Amino acid sequence: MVSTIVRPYEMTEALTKKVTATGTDTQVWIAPYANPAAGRGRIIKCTIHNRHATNPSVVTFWDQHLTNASVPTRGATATPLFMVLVPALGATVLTEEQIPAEYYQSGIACQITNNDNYIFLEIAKDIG
Amino acid sequence: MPTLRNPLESGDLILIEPRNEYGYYFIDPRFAPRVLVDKTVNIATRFTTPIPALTSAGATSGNGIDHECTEVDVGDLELAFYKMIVIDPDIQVQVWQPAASMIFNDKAGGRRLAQNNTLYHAERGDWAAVPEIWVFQDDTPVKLTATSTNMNSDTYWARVRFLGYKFKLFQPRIAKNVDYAQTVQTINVGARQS
Repeated sequence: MVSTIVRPYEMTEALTKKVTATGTDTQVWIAPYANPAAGRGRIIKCTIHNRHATNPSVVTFWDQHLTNASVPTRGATATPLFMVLVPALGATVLTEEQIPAEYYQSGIACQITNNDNYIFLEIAKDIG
Repeated sequence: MPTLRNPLESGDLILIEPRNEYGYYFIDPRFAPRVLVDKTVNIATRFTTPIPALTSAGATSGNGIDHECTEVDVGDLELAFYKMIVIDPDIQVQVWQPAASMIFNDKAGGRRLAQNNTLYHAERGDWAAVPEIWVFQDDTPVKLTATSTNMNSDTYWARVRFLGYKFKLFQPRIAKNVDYAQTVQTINVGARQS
């Protein structure tokens, strides 16, 4: 299925992240919060591949820029804003209508429970 | 497809009220009206001053965040015309010009601008239904008051988008107290504030 309905004043950005460290905060995306960009974004398509042969992986997302403590954080790995379960040696694909339209204003951070995950996100972001 | 056009043409005679402060001006025919591309103003201050969440007591005039909107001022002998679009959900905006006088009011009080009565019309190209303001030089900035409609959390996102035209002016020798019949349009920008 094709994503997406992009709302007024949004544009899309695709990104890829290979996450190998289990249980470690990992930055997937940084929101364009700094002036003059002054925007935020939401996930409109999420594809996660888990290359582990036997174990499923739980991937959690929350709103944080891990290297800037002066911008607000919403959520944590224990209280994520969004969570995806990926089967062993499998993939999970979610499109816009399956993803809560949660706005990430500082960035998208994640953790995985099994190593060797590939995260592909499509973000609809505004740039103020 | 409807479009947003400049409401004045070169050579038009306009009366800017209150006339005891401003008076008659011509749209300078030596300069074409210039489109002012979209500009976004955030009434909240990221990430220090959010718009507080709406409480169960409801919104009163005292619990909004005020912002003097000097971001859309123009230069000397310039007049700007803007359409205003609220682009974030969860907020309502009241507009004042000058600071103690609400623009979009009726007998029941001030009308609040939100996505549903601004962005909705703009997306459909129905520009006539989108609220408009005028700004003269840097003398008459509007004040915006944002109130949250979100009862769950504060928000740093209370953005209003301005787009329109600016016009160069020159002042003819017409007495301010004369009602001049050739006036094309009368524009009220409120008392001088700065």
